[in-house]
Amino acid sequence: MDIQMKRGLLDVAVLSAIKNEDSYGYQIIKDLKPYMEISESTLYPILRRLEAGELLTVKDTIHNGRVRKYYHITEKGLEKINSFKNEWQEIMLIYNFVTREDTENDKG
Amino acid sequence: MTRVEFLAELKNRLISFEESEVENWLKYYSEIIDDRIEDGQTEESAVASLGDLNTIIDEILQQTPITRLAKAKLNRKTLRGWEIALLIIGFPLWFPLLMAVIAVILALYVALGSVIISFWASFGMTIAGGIGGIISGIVFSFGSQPLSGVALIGAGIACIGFSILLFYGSKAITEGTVWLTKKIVLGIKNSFIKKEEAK
Repeated sequence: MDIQMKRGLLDVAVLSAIKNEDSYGYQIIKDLKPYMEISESTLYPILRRLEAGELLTVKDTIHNGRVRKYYHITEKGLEKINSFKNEWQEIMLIYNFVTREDTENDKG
Repeated sequence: MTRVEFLAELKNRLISFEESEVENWLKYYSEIIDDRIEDGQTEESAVASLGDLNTIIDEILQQTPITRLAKAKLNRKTLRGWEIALLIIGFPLWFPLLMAVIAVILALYVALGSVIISFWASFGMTIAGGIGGIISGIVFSFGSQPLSGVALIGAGIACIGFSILLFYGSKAITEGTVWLTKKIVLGIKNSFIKKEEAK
């Protein structure tokens, strides 16, 4: 997949993983696993980028006597998910156009 | 590999990174390993499931902007004092050289400028001479010396023809100088970028 496209998709996927409740690194990877393979070293820069862009906030929480970072989605993050959904409809229209001959051929 | 071994090795491999950056990565991996262990994995398998350390380093490098790497490298540079000393000691050598280069470029431009000015001046003179020749030729033709008048008109037309050639010549030389200037500026810029990359 195109690297820019994948980057954008990963951003939204990560935001979506913390949409309903705050989550932490390992949990995010586990939640995404059935849908996309994402390594720890890929996730971390995404989280940092989203934090820098104020799409999420980070909070250190003490868990079992050690620090665990929880990620919390912001208004801006929620907007990002919504605009992705809208954009996706446009993309699907283009996809239908691009693959129109394939489906016609299937019919024929 | 144990948790401590993994983190030590990771720290070792991230030597060219800024300290705060290394600290962030270590904290992050430490948390993930602890979470994996809590999830029921053994320490060994928790570390193993992070993947090959070479791959991890590659991924971290890929996702770190070059500017940040360069900055970290620059901060760690130890030869700086020595370099400054060299710059001061070498001043009698590099300063005259730099001045010479600037003088050569300046001279080149003065010379080119003179050529351009003379070309345009010649163009101006020939066209003025041509028009003047034709006008005085006409005056003479209807006056006492019709033959000289015709000759003057002919010379005037020749001058105008020549001035057209001069016009294109002057234009080409001016455009050439502009092109050369762009090339020189580009060359200087490139040398700066290369220096940045070399750092």
